[in-house]
Amino acid sequence: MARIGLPAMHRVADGLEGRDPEFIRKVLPRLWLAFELYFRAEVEGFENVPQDEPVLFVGNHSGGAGVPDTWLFLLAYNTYFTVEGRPLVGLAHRVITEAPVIGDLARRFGMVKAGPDRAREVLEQGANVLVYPGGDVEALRPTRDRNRIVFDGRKGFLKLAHDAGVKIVPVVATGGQETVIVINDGRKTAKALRLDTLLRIKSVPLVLNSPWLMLPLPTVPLPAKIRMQVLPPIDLREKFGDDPDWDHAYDFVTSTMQVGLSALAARTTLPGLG
Amino acid sequence: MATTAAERIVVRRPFEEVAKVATDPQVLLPLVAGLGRFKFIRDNGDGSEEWDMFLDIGAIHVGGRVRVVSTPPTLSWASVRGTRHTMAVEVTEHPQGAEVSMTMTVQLGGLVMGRIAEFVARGIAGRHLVAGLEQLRHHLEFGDLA
Repeated sequence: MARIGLPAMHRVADGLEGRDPEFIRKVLPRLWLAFELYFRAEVEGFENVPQDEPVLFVGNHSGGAGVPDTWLFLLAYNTYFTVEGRPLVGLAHRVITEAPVIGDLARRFGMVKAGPDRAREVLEQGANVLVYPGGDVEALRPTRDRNRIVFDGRKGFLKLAHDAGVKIVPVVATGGQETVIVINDGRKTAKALRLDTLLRIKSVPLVLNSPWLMLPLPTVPLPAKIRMQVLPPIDLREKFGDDPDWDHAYDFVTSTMQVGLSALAARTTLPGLG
Repeated sequence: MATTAAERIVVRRPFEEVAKVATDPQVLLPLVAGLGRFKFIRDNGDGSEEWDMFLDIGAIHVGGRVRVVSTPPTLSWASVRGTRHTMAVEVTEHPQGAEVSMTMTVQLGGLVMGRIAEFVARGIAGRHLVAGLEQLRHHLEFGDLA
């Protein structure tokens, strides 16, 4: 079945052309205040990022629709490497990039609609790319799985990095999934409503919102402490050769990230408080 | 009073291999205490070893000197000084290979505040056990340390 086409209401170009360094510079202080004061955020490990070649950042996605981990990474990256440094392009769900207003905002930050061809283009243009393979499924995983990597078997990011000849730089974060309370992942509901085929939405979870409880209204994220760790790069060609066993490569990358995520989670004294 | 944290993980490697590695203090303790600090003290000559092992948790250091006894497929230790605690590691067979379980019991002083501290400590200990188990699994399945 064909997917529903969302009306294109954006005015900002897609990709590096639409990325607006001056706009990013203006927004960074606001993001910094929010993440410093509200989420008491900590980001470590940028020294692991190769400086002389583009890379594919691969993160674990958290926080429901608010995805605070994405905004935190954009803030930390653009201040560590500077707005004028190697640009960062984030791959976002089409629900974000094609939405009015929010889509333009995302494009000015350098986001593009997730897809292997577009990602490869911006890598070839010399940009670093950020991808969350788990997407909505991972961002809406139940709270009890908050410290688990849930990529749902998606291996496209491995093929992208291998084909483009770039290293994967894993990024793990805790706390994002404590900004919402997700009771179940709602994957059966999404399938029953055929949202998975119509809008590529795989999860319609039962979420306890602040302050609306379970009403589907814009929510205020809970002020959980967010920790983020950038891990050492993984060179798929060096480790798995020219013709990788994709299942093995997937297991290795997700296992490496799970170890990093669990180690980061061990620094938590009390969930929510940090 | 005491509080206990218990976690387990499936390792997709043969039982014998997992049991050998998971109950070797020289391998296991650095993995479990990798987030804090650890130091081999002595071999007691009676089948036990003494280690200093601490988890750095914010402002405090939880741990102390422990006496470790390894009898594959199990390993256990008990504190001889520092935070009063015990640890039990057991490897059992699993259809996918082997299952490793870790159980840590911590005893803190005090009444009401002691109970509250134990409640918080259980969560912290549980997350450290998960981190140690994930390190162990990755080490066994992929042959390197993440």
